[in-house]
Amino acid sequence: MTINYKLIPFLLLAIFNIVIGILIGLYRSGWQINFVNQDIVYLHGPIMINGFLLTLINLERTVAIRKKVAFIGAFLSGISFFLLFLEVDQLIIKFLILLSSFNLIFIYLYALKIDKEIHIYIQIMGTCFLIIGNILWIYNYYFTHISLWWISFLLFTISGERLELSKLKNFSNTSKKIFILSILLTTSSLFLSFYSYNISTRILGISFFIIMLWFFKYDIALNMLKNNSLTRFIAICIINGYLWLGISSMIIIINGQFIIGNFLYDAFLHSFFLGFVISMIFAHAPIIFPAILRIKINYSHIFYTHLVFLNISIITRIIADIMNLYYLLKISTILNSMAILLFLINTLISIKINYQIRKDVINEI
Amino acid sequence: MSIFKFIKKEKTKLSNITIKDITKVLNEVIDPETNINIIDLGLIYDIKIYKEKINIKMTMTTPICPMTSYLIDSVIQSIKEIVDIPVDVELVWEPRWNREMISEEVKNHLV
Repeated sequence: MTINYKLIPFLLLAIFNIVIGILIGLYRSGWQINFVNQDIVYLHGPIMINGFLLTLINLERTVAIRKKVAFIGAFLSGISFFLLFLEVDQLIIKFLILLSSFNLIFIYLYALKIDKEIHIYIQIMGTCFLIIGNILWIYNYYFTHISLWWISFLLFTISGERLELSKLKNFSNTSKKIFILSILLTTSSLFLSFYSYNISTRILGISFFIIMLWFFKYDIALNMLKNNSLTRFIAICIINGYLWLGISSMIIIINGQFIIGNFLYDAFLHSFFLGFVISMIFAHAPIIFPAILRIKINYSHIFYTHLVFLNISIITRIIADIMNLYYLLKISTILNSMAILLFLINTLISIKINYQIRKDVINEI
Repeated sequence: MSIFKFIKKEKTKLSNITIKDITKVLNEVIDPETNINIIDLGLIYDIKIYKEKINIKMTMTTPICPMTSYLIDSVIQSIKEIVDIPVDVELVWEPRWNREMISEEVKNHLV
């Protein structure tokens, strides 16, 4: 299996975005970061979602359908925020991101021609939420509203993936109906947010909570806990992600109305993005890296260190948010960043170890 | 590791290879997320051994499965471990994969 070097630039673009996103996040929490100014300070969320995650999702889906033309999506979202440093107008960047979102829709439509399964429809719905969110962003709508669309995009994308794997299990028609109802509840609450934000966020939280409970019962991860080391690690990360999804749902149900700068808004966003989304990334990295780059990762128990560190850092952040402790919040953002850095380091070390083992085996033969 | 070393040195002649041999090596190709091999998952639809090549028809549980290229490569690599001959893997979508294609043993494990 030879390394797919052609895809490394896309992955580097994704890493570039997460690094810039993290640095802006640190600046927002009070750390001095030289290159960040008032023009880009509000781009922490957009870079994390559209620069980092959209690039990764586009890349992963393109590799899956094996159509080279679809790489344009990962390229556009990956390069967009780089253009900030070339002083390209932000409106152009927003349009490039929108094009990248449409690329993802086309990938799903292509897949739909082959397989008309519910999990693909759910991911299409999620990508439509992303597009609506990005259009609202072009019109400079409130971030507290846009974030709901972006969050739902990620929830539907991850739910679609997990649902696809869950079809290995047998579940009743009633359970399918409950899942579809929760999906419809999420969708209606998003549209309701234009009319009654306070009520819509609480309904959204309820729908997220139902989705979380559903996966706790039906996700295949629960069957994988007694498996070998890597599969068990993946399962634990996934279950960890669901727990954080439950916590973020509870925060939004209890709090309802969010305003920018509100500490509970920070708790909601980061329990979702760091707790749920990043846990899912930790889970899939050891298998997605080999799939995309044809680089084998040698699993090691050391992978638990970044998962444990991530949890500690989010718990610290949420305590700081709930108790309005600004300095603890500032420290927690460093801990959050270190958890992601530790993940990158552990992954790189495991790739290096794997290559050393292969080299030794070849020499032995 | 030593087994692979042995197999690598002692590749079987194509004339001696049977579908059973191919199935046996494909039993070692594991989907890492589920830790289930691709035979038990029901992803292999057809195995044909010709004079000059081996043809495999396989599917994925979804067309947006990120493991597609990885699993195809693994199939080719695992067959080449026992016989040095071109291996063609054709990705097919008909019939569509469904849960009934999983082996009974794995199905019971997943209840």
